[in-house]
Amino acid sequence: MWRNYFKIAARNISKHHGYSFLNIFGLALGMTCTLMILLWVQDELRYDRFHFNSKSLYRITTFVQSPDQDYSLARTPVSLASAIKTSIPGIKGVSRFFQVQRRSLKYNNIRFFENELVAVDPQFLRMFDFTILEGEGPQALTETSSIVLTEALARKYFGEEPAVGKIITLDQGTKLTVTAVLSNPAGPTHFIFSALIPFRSVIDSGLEYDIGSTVNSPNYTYIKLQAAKDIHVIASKINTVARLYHKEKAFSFQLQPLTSIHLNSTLEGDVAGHGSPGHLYLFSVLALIVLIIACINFMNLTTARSGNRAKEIGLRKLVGGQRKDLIFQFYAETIAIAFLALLLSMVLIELALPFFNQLTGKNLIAGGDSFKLITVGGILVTLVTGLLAGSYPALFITSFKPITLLKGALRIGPANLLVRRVLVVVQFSLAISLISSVFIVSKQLDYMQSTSMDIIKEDVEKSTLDIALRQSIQGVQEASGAGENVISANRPASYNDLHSIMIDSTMGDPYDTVSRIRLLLSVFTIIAMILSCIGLYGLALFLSQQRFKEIGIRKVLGASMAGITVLMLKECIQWIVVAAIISLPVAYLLLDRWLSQFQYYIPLSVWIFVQSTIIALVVAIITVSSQVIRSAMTNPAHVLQQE
Amino acid sequence: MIKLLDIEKYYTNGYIKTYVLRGINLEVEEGEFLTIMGPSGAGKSTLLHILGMLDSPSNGDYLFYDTPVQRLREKQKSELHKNHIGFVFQSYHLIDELTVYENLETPLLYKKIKGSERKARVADVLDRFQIVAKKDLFPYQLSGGQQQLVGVARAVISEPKLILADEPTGNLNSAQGKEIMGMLKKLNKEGVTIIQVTHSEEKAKYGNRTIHLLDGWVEKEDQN
Repeated sequence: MWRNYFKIAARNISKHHGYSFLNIFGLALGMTCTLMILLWVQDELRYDRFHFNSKSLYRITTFVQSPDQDYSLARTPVSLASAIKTSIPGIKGVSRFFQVQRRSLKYNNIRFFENELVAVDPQFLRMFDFTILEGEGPQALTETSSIVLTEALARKYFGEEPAVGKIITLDQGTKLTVTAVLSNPAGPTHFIFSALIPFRSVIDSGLEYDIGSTVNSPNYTYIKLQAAKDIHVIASKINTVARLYHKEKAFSFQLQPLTSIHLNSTLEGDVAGHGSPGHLYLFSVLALIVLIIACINFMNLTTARSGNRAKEIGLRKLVGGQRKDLIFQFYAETIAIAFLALLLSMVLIELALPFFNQLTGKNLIAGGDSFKLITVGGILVTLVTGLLAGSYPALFITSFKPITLLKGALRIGPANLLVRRVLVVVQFSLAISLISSVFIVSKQLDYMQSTSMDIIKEDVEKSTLDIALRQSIQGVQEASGAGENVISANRPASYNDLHSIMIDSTMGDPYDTVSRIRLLLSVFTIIAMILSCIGLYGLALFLSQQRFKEIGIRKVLGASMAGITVLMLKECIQWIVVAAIISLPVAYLLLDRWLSQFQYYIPLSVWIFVQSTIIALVVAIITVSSQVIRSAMTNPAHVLQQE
Repeated sequence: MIKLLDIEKYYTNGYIKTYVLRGINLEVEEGEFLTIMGPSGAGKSTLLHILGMLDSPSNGDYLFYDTPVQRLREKQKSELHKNHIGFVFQSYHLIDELTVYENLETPLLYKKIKGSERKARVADVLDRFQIVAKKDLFPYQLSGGQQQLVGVARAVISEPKLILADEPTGNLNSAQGKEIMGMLKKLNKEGVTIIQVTHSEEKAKYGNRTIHLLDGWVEKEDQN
């Protein structure tokens, strides 16, 4: 029996190969987008979770009370770590993460400047689970003259040779021995470094002036707690201890869970490359929209075609097939076809991931855990889509008497046609909204880049001044209470440096993010548009089947081909206009909200929506024309003979 | 085998009842070859559909081997179709996407007959109907007569007691028509009860009894 089902399904697919291609490819395209976004979301949520006991790892942050505005800093004074290291029970480990500014490393005659050199305490490798590829384990940083490299950096200096034991020269003099090489971390992490050196060597190598103040020094402090310790208790103990060193009450310390740093940190002076829940939300919604459009397509095309199976269903009933057999057959068939789409989408994901990675600035792969995720997610989508699309032939068509089915008297009721139209309207509402969004986002970006750069610069200068002021204040505070034998020379970076850093880190980032959103939005919109057109094509196909007889009679009565083409096009156009009317207020409200987050923004114009609608209409007319013309060219004798 | 008692069939459209069949009393013995004749619109096909349990009467009783059909559930009717009744149609109604072999095999699949026996039975029927050479062809690759031969073979393969044929030769030329009628006659001689609907006096002669319908009533009955 399975063979019988399989053969008939396969022959139907190949008999209507154009339609089958649209159906399978459309769903695969939708699945590909959704699953890639799923990978991206998973990656965003996985930051720093690969560490064993990641739940007991925290970063200490600084809360500063200042006369005009309170604020939180991701950075902490260098002295804090040594102050709390031994005095607080419940803390199992403390490590600083100190970004040593641009330094050079030299091996033989190769010298490079390294931007991602980081000084940590020896505990670092015990607290965090970075896998050792070569060399010693967690004690790799106990010697002051040791250095631990990432795999990439080891390759850069030593090629394929073993790195452990080699001696590297830091800047002009300090000799460091490579004690370990770390492989790529087991998951995404907010830590950015290419080499680790013991914190003591920073002091020994004359880099002191960098570690003076809270803000000037890019120092972060991490702690590992014993299981089940109350973080509020620990935090207050940290503050008590810190107060012994810092008499000022102007700032206090707080604990931030390691795993929430990537997505939820909005602190000043944080490490680069943060994610945001807003983007997570935006991307998820986009993925869902594309998936909905693709599923609607699959349902529409499947049901439009299943009318052709009415005779088969009638005959199967007649020769002894029970309804449950038929229900099973048609569900199995649509699920199997949806499954083909899943397989195709796996191939598409493999092909599209490099491009997607470029777009998102990530390094996603479809292997390992991610493979499990896309497989499970994909199968879920496949089952749901297959069940929804299969319900029309499986439940509706099989409910008829065999003789009705054989007579070809199966008329699809107005209710069904209404559902189909509603689905197409939903698709086009979504597509038109997306097209409008692309226009608005692009215009807003152009506007920001061309006209308001001056204003932004002004803003930057203001805030830079403000921060520079804060920094010098804290520098003094810090210097007065330094717990470690470090001489703080509180020398703020030169004003120009600071300025360029500010523009880089504060202004550059949102621009980058927004243009990424623009690009992704465009890609998604084009895909959504393609999918919507496939859906419209399905509707046109269905309508021309429905009106097959009507067209034949009209032709016998003398209707011209042009007349019939207009008749059929009118049907499609009117639903797109309805979609435009529905999408307008929704898109307007959403875009208005999006724009209001900018200080300077473009006015929302109705023309943009009209433009979007016209684009959708033109694309739609091109899509349905072939089908409409084909049905207008039908030979009326052929139609009427069939009746 | 079959008893129809005061069968009526009508459609209501608003307040107007349109009768298709009225006052039909009919008995069919096992082994008979009955012909139903009458002009277009007389109710022949509707009667045949009621006999085949494809349609249900508005009033009256239908006993099939003394079982009241109107009380059967869909599933039980499907069982009767599967085991006792074969259908032959004017326009053949083969499944277009299946080959001759697969079309013949499908009823046996629903009867859950094992692979080896299924093969033997399909081979046997192909042989009896002399269509072995056509077994891997699709319906559109066959002539009308050949398609109808497959149609009859499909009706026969599940070894039914009753074959219902709705104008089986209506779309065929005279030579093809004769061949199909000869085949039905032969099956009847082997003990299968046959009820056919036809317009043709000539085709009616293959049967041993004819009832004539007019406007839903039985007009007259002939014994051949």
